[in-house]
Amino acid sequence: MTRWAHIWGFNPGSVHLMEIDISALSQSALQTNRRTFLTGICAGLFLAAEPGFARGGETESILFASAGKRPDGSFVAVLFDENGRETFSVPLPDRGHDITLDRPRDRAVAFARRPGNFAVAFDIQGRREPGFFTAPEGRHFYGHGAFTKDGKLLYASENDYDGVKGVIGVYDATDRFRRIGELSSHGLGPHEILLMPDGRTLAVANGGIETHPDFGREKLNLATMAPSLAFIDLEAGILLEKHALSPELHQLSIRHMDADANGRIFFGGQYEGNKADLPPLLGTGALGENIRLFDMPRELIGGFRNYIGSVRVGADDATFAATSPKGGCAVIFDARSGNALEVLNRRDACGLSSVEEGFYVASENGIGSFEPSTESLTSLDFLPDNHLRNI
Amino acid sequence: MIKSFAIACLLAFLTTSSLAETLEPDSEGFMSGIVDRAIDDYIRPSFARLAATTQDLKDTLSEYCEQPSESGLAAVHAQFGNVVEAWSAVEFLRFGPLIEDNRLERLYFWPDRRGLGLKRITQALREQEDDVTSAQALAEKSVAVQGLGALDYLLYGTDSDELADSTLSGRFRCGFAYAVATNMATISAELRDDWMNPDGYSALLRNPADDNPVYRTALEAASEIRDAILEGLDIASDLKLKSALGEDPSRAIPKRSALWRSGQTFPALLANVDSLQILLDTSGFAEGLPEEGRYLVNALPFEFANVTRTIGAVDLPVEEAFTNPEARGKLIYATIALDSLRDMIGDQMGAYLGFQPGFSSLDGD
Repeated sequence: MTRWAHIWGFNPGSVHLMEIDISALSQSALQTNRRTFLTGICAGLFLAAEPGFARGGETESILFASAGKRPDGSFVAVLFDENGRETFSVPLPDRGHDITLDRPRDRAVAFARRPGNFAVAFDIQGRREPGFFTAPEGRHFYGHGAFTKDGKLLYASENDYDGVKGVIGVYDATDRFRRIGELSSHGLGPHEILLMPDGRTLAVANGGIETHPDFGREKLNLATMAPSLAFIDLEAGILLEKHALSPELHQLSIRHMDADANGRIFFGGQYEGNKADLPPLLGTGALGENIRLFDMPRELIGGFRNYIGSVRVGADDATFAATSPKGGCAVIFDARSGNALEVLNRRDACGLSSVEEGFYVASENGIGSFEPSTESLTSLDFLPDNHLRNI
Repeated sequence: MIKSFAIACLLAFLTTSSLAETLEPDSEGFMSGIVDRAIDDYIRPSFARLAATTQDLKDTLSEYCEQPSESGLAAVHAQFGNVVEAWSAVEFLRFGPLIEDNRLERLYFWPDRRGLGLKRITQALREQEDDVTSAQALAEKSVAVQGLGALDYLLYGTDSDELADSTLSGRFRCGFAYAVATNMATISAELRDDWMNPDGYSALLRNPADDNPVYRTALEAASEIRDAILEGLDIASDLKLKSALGEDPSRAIPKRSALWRSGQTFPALLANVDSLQILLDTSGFAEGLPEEGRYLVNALPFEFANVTRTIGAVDLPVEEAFTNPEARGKLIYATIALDSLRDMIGDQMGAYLGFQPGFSSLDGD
């Protein structure tokens, strides 16, 4: 089946609408240099909203955003509801990762998966054409970002790969995401970043792993990696606190996290040491206190395969959940004790979202609520990528 | 309650995969056969060979440092080549004992993009730091000065002819090289012993079970062997060739190559590729191919031969091979053939045999 897209071209002085075959486009995209692709025909490109769907309409749907891969091999950022119905999607030149939301202004930014350097900003209601922007020369995205509360700035975790430094790129969200500066992330390999509830503190999960695009995704410093959780004061531009793991856990890469309403962070790691080690993978931290890892039964830890793909705090802050695509499972924990409450076995489970009703999990077989008793899976017309956002 | 949930946690990995269902449980022992043959006929002998060659290098260097001679140096060089060859057969077995205690990096820290090894080694030579001539002390230093990369510089790099000198700096350099070889022999003996230990990591691979912390099924254990082969192909293509080739000849970086000072770059690469083919054949993956996948039985050796033939035909030193148009063309061709092997073994053979990692679990973020 051919998928058609409406293309808005933005040649100087003219705006025109045409239809092209997306599958053909993605083929040519494969043969095209990424920068050429971005500055060329793809400068403004998205799938039209399905008519008849409106948020808050007669059927109250839960709306999600996720990056993904179409059956024809092309990559997209997709908005869809819990019934798998897509409201619209934006083609991406390569594989995406997380989608960062600016809910008050109905905006979202889909980031490239590392070591990609593209991002696409789009209107959640599909009212404006998407805008592509890139990390500057010498930087690539890690796939995650965060908006300020007023929506004026966007922060993105980035790799200064020649300088061997983790940085937080600062983009002017009021001016076509022009890059206006950068901050140190205070560690290598910054991955997920979160704006704290105070609106001025940025939490950074520094994975600690050195990579360089010349060597693909090869990890260059496993012997000396030093992951950390850093808190940065965005207004003063200074490091407030940086928390490291104990030396024997220096190979536990802190990657994904979420915060509750009080700014307490729950994070998950990926262990780079011997697979038989089974260290704790989940922990919690906050400004002013040391990070603490949750003790868990060995059997439970083993199920994660030393790899947490996503972490989300529950809507009432009483629980948090974590997924492991390698382990094929998702688990809900008591936020206070870290005790496991529910386990869901689902092949490739990774995307995780917290809604009023509970948690939703995305996997290669689709999306479904966290219900171990029933296989309430809705299939999707794409393989959802690692992160799922509730809009 | 939690325990039973957790134990089931990974079983989901298999039960939802239709292809896997046809092969699981491993009723005919195909997957466990792969694991057994890989351990007994490839992994154990290969680590034993690494232990033996590093021990020989240590002994040869010991004699040479006491009484330098031209023939002694030739023996050292020959023995170094044997170590490189043995190392190239295990370099991609990045699971279990090799990634314990940073053994991988200590045996060969590469790629060393920032040139840490060169900086630390030249500094140690300049300042004659005592702790690099003692294997025990060396083992506590940066991984960048402990292994093959250090030997490549000490035995073949700038001023390596002073190895034969009776000067203080000459004896110091030889002592440093001897300490590196000793350290490598110690680590390699540990690796050999860990793999030989019937209750060691091999037991985890051989006994998949719900309460096995790493492998729940024979398919998962066999996947480890397959993943190692794929990683080996990636190392050969992406790390060893493409990173040095650059986008065009003016951007080639030959000195990024592994072991370029000793001229072992291409011999090591050829040994990698030969070893990958041997592991693939020894493990017997192809025996499980259904009729429609049997074409791989001939296609795989054909493509392996393309790689080794083209790399083998490069007869220029590393410094020239990545920029000389003809040699460069051969190396680029080799990357294409290596990537094609990756596709055949990863995607095609993987699908026929039921190795199908999920979208988010494959090389995740």
